[in-house]
Amino acid sequence: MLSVHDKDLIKKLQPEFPLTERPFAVLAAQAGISEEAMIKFFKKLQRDKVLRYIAPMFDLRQIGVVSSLVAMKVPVKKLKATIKIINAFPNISHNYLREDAYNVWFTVSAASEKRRAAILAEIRKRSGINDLLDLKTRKVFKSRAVFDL
Amino acid sequence: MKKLSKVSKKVLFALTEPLALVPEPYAEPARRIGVSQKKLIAMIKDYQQQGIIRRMGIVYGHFKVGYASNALVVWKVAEARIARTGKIFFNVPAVTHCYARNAYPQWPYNLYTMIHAKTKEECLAIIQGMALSSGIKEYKALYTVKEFKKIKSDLREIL
Repeated sequence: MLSVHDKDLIKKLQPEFPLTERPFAVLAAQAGISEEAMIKFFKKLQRDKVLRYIAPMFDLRQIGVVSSLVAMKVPVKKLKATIKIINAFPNISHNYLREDAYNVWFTVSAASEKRRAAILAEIRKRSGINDLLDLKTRKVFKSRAVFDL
Repeated sequence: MKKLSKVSKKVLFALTEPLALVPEPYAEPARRIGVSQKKLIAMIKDYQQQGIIRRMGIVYGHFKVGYASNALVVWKVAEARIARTGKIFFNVPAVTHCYARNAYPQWPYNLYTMIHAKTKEECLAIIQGMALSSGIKEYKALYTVKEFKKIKSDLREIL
């Protein structure tokens, strides 16, 4: 559980990690604590699963990766097996159950359009479900995760 | 579409691993690539300029920081109004993602927004506010029931 103090600290941090040789020292200076204390704080956040990771956010389209959001109408009795088929692909990074007749929503990314289409064909074939919406990205207006806590 | 050189692919792959929580977190990927930390940091900045890297992100788990109500809201927007509506939604703090996508006859929605709120009531109020400010009347909120998978894309497996 995060204390008020923890939340205050996270607020000061998000969401950009400094590009410098001692990034935690920079963050620590901003927050008025020591570098060591800042690293300890990050380790605590990671243990508590509040922090997922620190890594570059790639714009995959810039390096030729094609992605789409896919919605599927999956009957409840086929749900478990279908999720297993979908999640087995490393190309699927997010997969959610949503409140709608189109109940399964996932993102698929691949190095080429051909590969992306092949993955979806494979999912259709293995699951036996044909009711699928392939929602290709036309324009990104916003892609960011910034919150006030 | 930008093609990557062998060198940059090596750099991207080394950066796919999340940074370690140590005083000099760039040291390990720099060592793997075979360059100095300074050089790696300069390369990352260069990728940022090129738009390949958006930012070095500190990524939190939404559910864990008190954002319990999440919805994908899909909107049916007239072609001519998409850019304007995208701009309106961009300015809503609770909207983390806003994408224009292709629609289908049985699924006419072409603008997609991801909304994160603390409660369902708050989420609903945000959505109603967006409908009012944009004037878009046809939309649907698809609340998140369960997370089946959420991983960081591993470039080594995709490229």
